Amino acid sequence: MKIAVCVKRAPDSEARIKVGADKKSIDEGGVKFALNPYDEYGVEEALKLKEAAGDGEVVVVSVGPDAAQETIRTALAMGADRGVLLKTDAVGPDPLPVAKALAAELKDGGYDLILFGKLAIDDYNHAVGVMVAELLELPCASAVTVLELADGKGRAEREVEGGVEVLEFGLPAVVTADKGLNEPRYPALRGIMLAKKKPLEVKDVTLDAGGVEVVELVPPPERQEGRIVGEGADAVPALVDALRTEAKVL
Amino acid sequence: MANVLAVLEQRDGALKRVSHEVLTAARGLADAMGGEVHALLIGPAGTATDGIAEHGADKVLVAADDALALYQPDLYAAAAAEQAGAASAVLVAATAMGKDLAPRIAARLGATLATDVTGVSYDGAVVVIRPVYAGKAVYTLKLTGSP
Repeated sequence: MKIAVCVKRAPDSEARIKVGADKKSIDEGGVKFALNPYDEYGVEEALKLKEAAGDGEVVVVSVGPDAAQETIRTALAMGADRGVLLKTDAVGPDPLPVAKALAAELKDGGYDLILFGKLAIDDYNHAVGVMVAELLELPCASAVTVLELADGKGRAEREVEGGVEVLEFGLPAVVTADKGLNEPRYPALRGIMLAKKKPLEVKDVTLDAGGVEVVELVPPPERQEGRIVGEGADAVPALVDALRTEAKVL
Repeated sequence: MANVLAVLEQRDGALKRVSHEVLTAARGLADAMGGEVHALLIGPAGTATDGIAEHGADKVLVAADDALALYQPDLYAAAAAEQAGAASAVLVAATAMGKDLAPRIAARLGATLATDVTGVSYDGAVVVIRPVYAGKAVYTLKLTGSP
C-alpha cells in the first residue's frame, strides 16, 4: 500500500500571531512553526494503515519554504518513509495553485491513498485536499472521523450538522482528516534519530500567481467589555430587555 | 453579465436557514456588480422552493431528483459547476456540505476560492473578509480571479 500524506508548515496553534509591518502578512519573528495539527491525523492514519497492511510506503509531501523540511522531518520522525518538498517561498492565499503543484507531483506516483489534514490552521481554507482530488479526478472524502479500507474500497464517516454522513468510494482516493480520526503518536527519540537519515527530496516549483490579492491583514476587532445588569431573579427583566433591544438575539 | 450563483442547501426537502444568509449576501453582491442572483437548489423530488425569491433570488434553478436527496459530492459539484459557468461569483454556505462542495466547484472552473467568509463586497473585484489563524487575525482579500 503506497500512501501519500500532504502536510503544511503552519504556526504552532499556541503561537501569538502579530500582524507584520506590511499589514498583509504575519510577523514571523518569534513565531514557532510546526506540523499543521490536522496533518498529524493524516500522518498517523497513513502509518496505521501501513502497519495494518504489513508493508507499503508512506511519502510525505509539502509545498512551502526551505524551512518546511523541518516539518517533513517531524512526519518522518513519526514513522513516514520519505519526504518531498516542493520548494517555493511564495505560497499565496489562493488554494488552487498549491493544489495544482501537489496534483502534478502526485499524479504518476502510483498512490493507493492520498491523505490530507482537513484544513491548515493558518489560512483555514479547507480546500487544497478536495481540489487535488478534483484535479486528479479521484474520489474524495473530506473531514472524515472514521476511515476503513478493504478490498480496494474505502468507507468514511464525516460529521455534518446534526448527523453523520457515510461515504463509500473506490481506491485510489483522497481523504482529508478531521480531529477524532485517531490519536497522533509523538515522535520517539529513536524516530527522530532515524528521520535524519531518511530521504528528503527538494524540488523547486513555481506556483501560478493565483487570483487572490491580499488587501490587508489586521488583528481581530477588540471585544467589547461585558456588562453586568444585576444579580439574582430581580435582574431577569433587565437582562431580557438588554438581550432584546441591544443584542437583538431574542 | 455579472450574475451571482447562490448554491442553497436543503435537508429532507426543506430549505436550510443558512441558505437565507447565502441569498442575502448574494443579493448584496449582485446589486453591487449590477447583476442578478440565480439560486440553485439541489434536492429530492418535490423540494420546496418557498422563500427563495423572497430572500433575494431573481431566478430559481432546481435540480430535483430522489437520487439527490443526500449530498452526493460528484453530482452536486457537476450541477453547480454547470450553472456556475454563467456566473461571475458563486456563493456557498460554509457548512459541512459547503466546505466540501466549494473547492470542488472552484477546481472544476479553475476559479479562485475564499472560504469561511464573514463579509463580501465589490470594488472592481469581489472583496471578502475572512478570519484566519484561528481568529487571531482577519484577512481582507480581493479576488482578482473573479468576475
